[in-house]
Amino acid sequence: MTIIAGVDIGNSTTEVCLAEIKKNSEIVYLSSSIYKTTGIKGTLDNIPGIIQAIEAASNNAQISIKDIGLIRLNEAAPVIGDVAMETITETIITESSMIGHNPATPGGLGLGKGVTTHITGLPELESLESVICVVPHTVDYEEAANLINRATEKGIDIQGAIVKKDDAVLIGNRLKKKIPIIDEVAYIDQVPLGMLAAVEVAESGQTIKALSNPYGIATVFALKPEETKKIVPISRALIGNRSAVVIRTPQGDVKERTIPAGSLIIEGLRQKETVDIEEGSEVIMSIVKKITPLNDVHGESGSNVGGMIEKVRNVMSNLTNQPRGQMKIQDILAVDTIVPQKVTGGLAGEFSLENAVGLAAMVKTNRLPMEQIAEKLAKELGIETVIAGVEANMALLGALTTPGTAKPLAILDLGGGSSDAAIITNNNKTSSVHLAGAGDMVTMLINTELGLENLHLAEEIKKYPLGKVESLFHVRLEDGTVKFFDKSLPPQFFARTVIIKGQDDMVPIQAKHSLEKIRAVRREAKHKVFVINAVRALEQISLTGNIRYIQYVVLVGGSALDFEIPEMISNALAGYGIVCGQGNVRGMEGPRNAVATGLVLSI
Amino acid sequence: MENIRSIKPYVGIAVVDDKNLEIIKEITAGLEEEGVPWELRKFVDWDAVILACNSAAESILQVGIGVGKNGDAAVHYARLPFTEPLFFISYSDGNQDLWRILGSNAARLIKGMPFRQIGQEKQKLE
Repeated sequence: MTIIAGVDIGNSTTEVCLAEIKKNSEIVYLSSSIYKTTGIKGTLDNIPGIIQAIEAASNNAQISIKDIGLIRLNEAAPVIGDVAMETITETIITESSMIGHNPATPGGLGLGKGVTTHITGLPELESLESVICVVPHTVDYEEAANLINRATEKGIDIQGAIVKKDDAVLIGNRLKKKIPIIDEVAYIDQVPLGMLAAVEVAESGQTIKALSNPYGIATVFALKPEETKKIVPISRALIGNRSAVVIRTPQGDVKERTIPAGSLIIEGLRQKETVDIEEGSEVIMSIVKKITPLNDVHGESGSNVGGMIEKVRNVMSNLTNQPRGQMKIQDILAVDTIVPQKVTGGLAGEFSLENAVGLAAMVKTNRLPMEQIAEKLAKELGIETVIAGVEANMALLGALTTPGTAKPLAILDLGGGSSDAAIITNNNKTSSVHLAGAGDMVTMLINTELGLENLHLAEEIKKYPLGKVESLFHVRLEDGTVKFFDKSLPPQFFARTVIIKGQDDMVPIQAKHSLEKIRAVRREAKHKVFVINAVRALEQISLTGNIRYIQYVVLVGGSALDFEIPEMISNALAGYGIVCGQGNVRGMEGPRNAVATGLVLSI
Repeated sequence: MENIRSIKPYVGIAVVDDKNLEIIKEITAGLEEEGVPWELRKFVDWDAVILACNSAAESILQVGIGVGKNGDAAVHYARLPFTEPLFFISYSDGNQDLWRILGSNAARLIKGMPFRQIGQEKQKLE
């Protein structure tokens, strides 16, 4: 009898399965373990992680490492993926002709139109023109209200006010004649004076009607038809606001610029096609589907997408220490997305939603130097170490130990860098594919769509459900249930959307988005990457090209542990009549340990 | 102080007679900007936290503010332990912006909106 260890080195974790082979070649599983992969997969840096994982498994089985007779390593698939993102539209405001502003507490009510005038200039004002007051932070609310009241008494028609500090309600409450007031305008010094402007504030619970409508703006400023066309981006940006300011300057212009994003050159084995990024992800992916298997992908040089592809190639070449020329892109996944971007020329730090495209690319590298790892491991532990089999085949063997499965069986291995699939037919023929786009891409989409600029936070949003802190003592979780706390929550949690990491572990999200919005972005990102890739992968490995041929699909890998991805994929595949679910390796390991188990089984 | 709750919704502000008018002005401005009603009640000599706690207990909205004789200011919530006010600004730490934020945070507790950060604002001002 011998004890053997199956060791699977993955991108993020190293997993071990320990088993005893009896004389009648019966296999008795002893234990399993999981440890963070040290270094990049397939390099000598992995050794410390492997040793830790083996030690942990030995401890679990209450044996000594020296009792292990054989270590079987997997032949890791030499693929790595990377992601990039580029916006393809941009809103630019020249001469600051708009403030699309939505402060928490605007004051007054209605629509006002007049010439922008500094508040300290009011006493000297003689004209009969209508006026919009501009109030800097040096004038406090009582003084501002006094100045406006006195000017109104003198007969000056004051139609509205733009205020820097959070004072709109305070000023509004002290005015004899009600006017719309907008506050919290950060760059008030940049508001041009002596220009025609319109201020609109809607009742609480309502949204503005005039300034969010291009014809409304045209009416206020008496615009010609061709001018009305130009202000469409402004009115669009103001939809849904409770308040807004639009200032008309003679040279003022808002442009919605389409950035020349460039085109992708997709090279197949037989043909080559060029597709413009602006055509969107659907067109790009249909061309990828047509041309697959790919030989390489290039971006138009000098364009944004060219830069994106080259960046991916550089990262890969640095990671693997192989020349850039050998980095052939074997698959791409393009995803349409929307990115909030600071409006160039805005006055209160406004954001506008720009179209963008996210791209994941997968590169096949040379064989990883697994032999070196095996040699070094054998030397350090004094245990015979062999490289035992192709990762996909091992994963299939492991997945087949899930109760209720049968051949033909496909596995979807959803990781961080790539989505892999493999199939085993009735007569034990296997094939596998590696596709670009997985967990890392979901994180990137969440990060950019919510404008977080914090990958760590995006990762946590991806991994855990949300809740909303409704009082100092209770949280409503995203499924509607309520959780109470014995001690009051810290003030910085109050009324925030929080990530529920565990029983008493919550992280507040500082961004302004509602829970519903964050949840929708999270689910959408997972759908765009994992559901699309699941269908794509199964189409490619199915011998007939028809997914229906496959009857059983088992989900394995890190992302299969996600709290909602497995059910999203199961739902999508149910339509094809496929049994699909999270794997349960050896009936006890869940979607983990499939490859390590396969390494033991294949002896 | 009688322990009878008023039916009218307001944030109770307990202050010391004719003291600290500048602080009170900013706190009430913060409440007004957020659109939450308040009521002032005057006392002779007291500690900010105790004043805040008592006026929170009286308020139907369960939120009270106290401005002590020495110029300390505190926001209290009726369901919190007596000695743990939600926010506290000592007179030496205080300034106009912070007192305004204190008022608006008391209002936000009632409105269910995230608080403006007292610590951060302080750093910005320095």
